Amino acid sequence: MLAALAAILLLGAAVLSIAAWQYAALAARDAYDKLLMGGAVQIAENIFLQGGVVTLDPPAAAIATLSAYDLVFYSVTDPRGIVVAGYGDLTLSASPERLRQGVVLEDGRYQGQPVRIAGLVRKVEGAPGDGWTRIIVAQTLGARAALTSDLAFKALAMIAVMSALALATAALSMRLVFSPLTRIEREIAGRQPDDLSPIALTPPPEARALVEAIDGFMLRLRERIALMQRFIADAAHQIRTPLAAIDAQVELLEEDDPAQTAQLEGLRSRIAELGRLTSQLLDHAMVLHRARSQHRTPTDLNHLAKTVLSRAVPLTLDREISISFVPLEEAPLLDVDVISVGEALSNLIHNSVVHGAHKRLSLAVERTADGVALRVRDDGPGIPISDQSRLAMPFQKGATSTGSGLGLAIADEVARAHGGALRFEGKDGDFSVILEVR
Amino acid sequence: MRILLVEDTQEIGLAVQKRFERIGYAVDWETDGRTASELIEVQPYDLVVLDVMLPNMDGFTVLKHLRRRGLRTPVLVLTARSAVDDRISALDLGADDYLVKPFDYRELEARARALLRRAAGMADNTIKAGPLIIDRAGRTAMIAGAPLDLTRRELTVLEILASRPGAFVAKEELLEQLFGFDRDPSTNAVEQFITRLRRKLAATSVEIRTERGLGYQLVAP
Repeated sequence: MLAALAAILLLGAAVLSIAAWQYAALAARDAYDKLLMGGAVQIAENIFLQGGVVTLDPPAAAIATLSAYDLVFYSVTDPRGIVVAGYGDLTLSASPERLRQGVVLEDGRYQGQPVRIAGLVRKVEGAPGDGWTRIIVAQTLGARAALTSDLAFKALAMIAVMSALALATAALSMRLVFSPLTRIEREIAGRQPDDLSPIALTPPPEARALVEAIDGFMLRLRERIALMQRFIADAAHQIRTPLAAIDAQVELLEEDDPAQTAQLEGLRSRIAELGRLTSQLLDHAMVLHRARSQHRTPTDLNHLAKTVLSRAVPLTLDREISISFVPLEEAPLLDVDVISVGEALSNLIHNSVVHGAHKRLSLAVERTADGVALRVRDDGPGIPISDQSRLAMPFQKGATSTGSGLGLAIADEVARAHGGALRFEGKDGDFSVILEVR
Repeated sequence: MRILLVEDTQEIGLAVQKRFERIGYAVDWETDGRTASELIEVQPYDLVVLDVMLPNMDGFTVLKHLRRRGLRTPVLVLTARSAVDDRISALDLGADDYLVKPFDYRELEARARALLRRAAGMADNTIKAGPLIIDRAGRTAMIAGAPLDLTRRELTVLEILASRPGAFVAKEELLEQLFGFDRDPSTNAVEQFITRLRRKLAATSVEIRTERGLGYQLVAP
């Protein structure tokens, strides 16, 4: 925008400059033409007849004025065509008839230099022939050029100053006009991706309609997303009921045939997976909603972590994993959403039980600079650094995972909703996933 | 052991009933919330397994009434709804544990056993035996203030022994508590757990003794 304005101003300045140059040249020519004509007339007036011969008494003052910066040439030719004074080869192109009507001015060259030539004729009574004596005065163009440049450069300087002022004014007014937009832009750019709340700015009158339109759009988007989340939650819930019935049917099957036991076990674990997927879909949909609404209550994170740990590790876990819990000495009280933090942590522990821990799993509550970290640590293979950021995205899962790929995404969202982050630490054999909340 | 099962989905009710009866518990199965609530008033139960979505009176209301009457019967809630929707309210209302449908029936059995053990002992959720403290709800153990790293089954063994300090616990009882009837593990498995527990308790003053023919005994100063 500003660049376009600058281009227009530059073009304007160029046109104006050319015009200014031409006006300056014209003004200088007019001024010096008057001097030249005056000089010519004075020379003409100093012509007299002496003994029947046309004679010139050169007017020193007039010639001095003309030759201040230039070379001045003149010639006086009597009616017979004999040059009686000055340079004999100085001529002009205008016809004698034209000269009789008044002073003629024209451009020409003399002694290799461009000159301005003034010519006139004067009737000298008693002179030989018809009495018409011709006077030509030529002047080089130095003074004119100097005046032209002087005038033109002053005009150009003014044009430049005015253009700069115009550009500055345009920039300033653009900034003034766009400053509310810039503030709105900054407000929107600085948001969490899931933040669809109204713009927290009192808009100036010019931008009010825009802000209202954006707010209205975000409101509709929010309602739409809420509806979709509600739909996902409902769908997941609806799936769960028949799934539980199928699971019960499997449970009711008699396991008489040992060949079928393995298949029943497979069926059970598939059902469990599907059940878990529905839970996570539901949680994923609801957690964001909860994080936005004010569900936070002062919570003892030692107690929360211990409760979640006790429930997240099944009593019937077939692998013998040592579970330890390391609370903070002083119970850390923090305003958190108990449900979403609990679910996030539960997902991390589940991941560790299923994919991580060989023999050890520990949950530690740790203090950070401005909050609390819940560290799930195990002796499993961990998550390769190359996969870490990817796995925090919904439906991304590790190479060996049979899960939904939502566990880490839920944990990550909960951490961010609580002003914290989900971090990974360590390596194969001693790996930690850390849920930070503030 | 007498258990009240309140569940209106036929298959699930049947499966839960079958599972509990197989391990020798008497199961009364109700499908109506209000009837169940009335039944609890007249008949004492060792455990109530309660579905949330019930005709006439939902599970939460049944639970609320039960607790309002001052009954401390352990309650395990079964829910098809989400964590985010109502797990917390179940626990807030005084449920002792919950499982989200579909659940693992072995896990249900293990949780029920844990709740029954808890109820059989003291009302308090911690067991103390000398320097040993077991937090049953949190499923953690500490000895002289330091956390003990135990597997779930090691903790179960320790919990059973510690809840009856000085008494002998038969190997078969431990076996049943550890594995239910699903698996057919040898009694060697119990010996393995005892050996591992002894190793983890080696540096402490808590000791597990074996008496041939009687079983195991926890001795704490």
